[in-house]
Amino acid sequence: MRVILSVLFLFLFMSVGYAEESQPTTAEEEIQQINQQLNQSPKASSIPAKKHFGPFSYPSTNQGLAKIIPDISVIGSLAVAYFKEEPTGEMGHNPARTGFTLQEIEIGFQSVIDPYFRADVFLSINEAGVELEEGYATTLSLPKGLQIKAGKFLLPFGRQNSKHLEQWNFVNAPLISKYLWGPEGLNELGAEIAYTFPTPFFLQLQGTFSNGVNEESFGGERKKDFLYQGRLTTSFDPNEKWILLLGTSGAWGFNSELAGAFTQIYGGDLLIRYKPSSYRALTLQAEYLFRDRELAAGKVLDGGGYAFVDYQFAKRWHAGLRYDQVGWPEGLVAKEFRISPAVTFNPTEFSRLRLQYDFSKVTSQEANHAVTLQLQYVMGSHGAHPF
Amino acid sequence: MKKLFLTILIFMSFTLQAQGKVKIVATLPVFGSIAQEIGGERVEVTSLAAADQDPHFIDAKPSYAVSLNQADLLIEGNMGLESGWLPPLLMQARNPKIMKGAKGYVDASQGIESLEVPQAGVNLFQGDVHPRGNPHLWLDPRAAKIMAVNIYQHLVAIDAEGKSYYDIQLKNFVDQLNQRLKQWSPMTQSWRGKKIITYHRSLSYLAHWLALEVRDTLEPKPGIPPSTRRVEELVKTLQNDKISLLLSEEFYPRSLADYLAQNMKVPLLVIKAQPHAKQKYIDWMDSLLNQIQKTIL
Repeated sequence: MRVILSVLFLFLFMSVGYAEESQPTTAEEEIQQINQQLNQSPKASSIPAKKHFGPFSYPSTNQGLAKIIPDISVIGSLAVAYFKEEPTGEMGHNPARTGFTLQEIEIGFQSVIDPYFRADVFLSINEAGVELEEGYATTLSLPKGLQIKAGKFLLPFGRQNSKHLEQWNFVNAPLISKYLWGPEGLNELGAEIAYTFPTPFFLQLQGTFSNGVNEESFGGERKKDFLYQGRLTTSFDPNEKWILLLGTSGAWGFNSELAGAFTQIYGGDLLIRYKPSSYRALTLQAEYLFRDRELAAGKVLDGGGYAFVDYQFAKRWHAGLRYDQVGWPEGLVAKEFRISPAVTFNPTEFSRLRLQYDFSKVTSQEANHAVTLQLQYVMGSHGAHPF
Repeated sequence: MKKLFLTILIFMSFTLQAQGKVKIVATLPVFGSIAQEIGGERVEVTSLAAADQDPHFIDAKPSYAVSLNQADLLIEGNMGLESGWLPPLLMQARNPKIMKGAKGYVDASQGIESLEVPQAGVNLFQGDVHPRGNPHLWLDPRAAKIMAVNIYQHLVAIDAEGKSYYDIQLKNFVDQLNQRLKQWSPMTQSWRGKKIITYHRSLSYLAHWLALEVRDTLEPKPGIPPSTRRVEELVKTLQNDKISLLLSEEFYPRSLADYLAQNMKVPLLVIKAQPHAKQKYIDWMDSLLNQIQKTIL
């Protein structure tokens, strides 16, 4: 390489008839020379060397940092809440009581394995103990646009389900999540194949095939009772300041009510973001899910959804308002709605404080009120999340 | 359904049409600008972030994954600026050609000695510290030369046919830059040793190159916006020291800088942090230096 480059540059300089004495003759010499200059700012000695702000010294070499050890991260979420009426049942990551709730301490290990795979493992420590939240391998080198993922993971149904607690815009999950998927979300052992179409806008198809153990909607006990799930996402930017994202999802499987009883769930979601500058953004996100189940009593239809706006009004501040509802159509559970304003302050990218009020009401019951203050923190190198 | 397939086919044919050129995706427009100068007519450059955005906070838009999916060459600074938004895009892009370590992946900062590499034991109490050092390295034109060479080497590796063309383009770029460096030198000589205050610790390379002293930043710590308490400290600094210039990038909040400029009689210059994608690097640097010349005390 060096020889070729030198020959080439010599040739170039001769042919262009341009050869100053001090001019470097090869690209590598050029780099060397520039580095020398960078290293000793011209006549640096005449200016008293000033070490900037305590902990920094310069110049220093930019050493290669080999990536053998996986990225390890710890994300803690603690909530302190007041409920007029305490929630009942398993709450998953949601605040569970008046007083403190350890929502989760998530430990993540993420790394490229070899030229063909990467792996992501997330352990969730909560009050109940330690469990595997996600653990999957993803292909890296399939032909353009194709990707296969296998292991335990949150299925890509809608926008909320695949998000970890630290990506939520509110201290709790929308009512519909817990209602359709249970406290842990739709989290299955299986495989996903995804394909990104070579279109000028974003168009992605994901299909998953999994055990289908989810108790709220699936959990069929026969050998062949697998869960088939898919999602189609498209996104485009009307211009630089706007993002539009649309998704539609479906899941087909068998529930545990009767042998061979079928459950199908469909969902649609929408995200619009307007970001006029680096520290201002207005986001609208909405999602609706609909379930059709064969139960002993016959066909039961139910569903629900949510919509929220999130306004980032300063670099570190967000204000949000969410409306969510279940029992739409009503199915077997009473209609419930909830209105949740929240204010979020991110002191840095590594910590977060969030204050949220929930007003919720189940039809023909008294209204419930809750106030939650949440603290989240990240340590270590946590891989950024997809949009 | 048929219609959908038809539209997809049409779009696919569009993407095929553009295949003649090397598709370059640059994370920041400054890399895109330099790549355009080296690649000339043989390349088609897309820059993800816009020049007027804070490069630390870019949304990982799905449309960026599309650009990356179709790219032959990716250029990133690899100093930590992109770590909050590029990795998930690369996962979504599913393009082995531009994965780290592939021929189509350019680490623009390779071979540049970075400033302000944190010493052992420094933790995040010091604010948002980049482990590999200050990432805003394009503000030193000598570093831009190395970036150009880095881009050149990868371009040649993936498009060998264009080698003789890229050779000339690289030489032109470096020659022009060397010429400008000579032209700028008399002007910038008179600034040596002057003290400046910047908003973020983003102009260290500029200061280092021109032997300016960054006396302080408006941010108390990197990434932490200045509070009201900060005003007093800065007023004190401005009283005790002769500060020749207050520099802030256009995307940072202006209130504190404006307040200090008005009340402390220190000139304020709001600058463009990097060239926009269609602007030549040299022209951007030239206008930046001329603006400083007009403003500096």
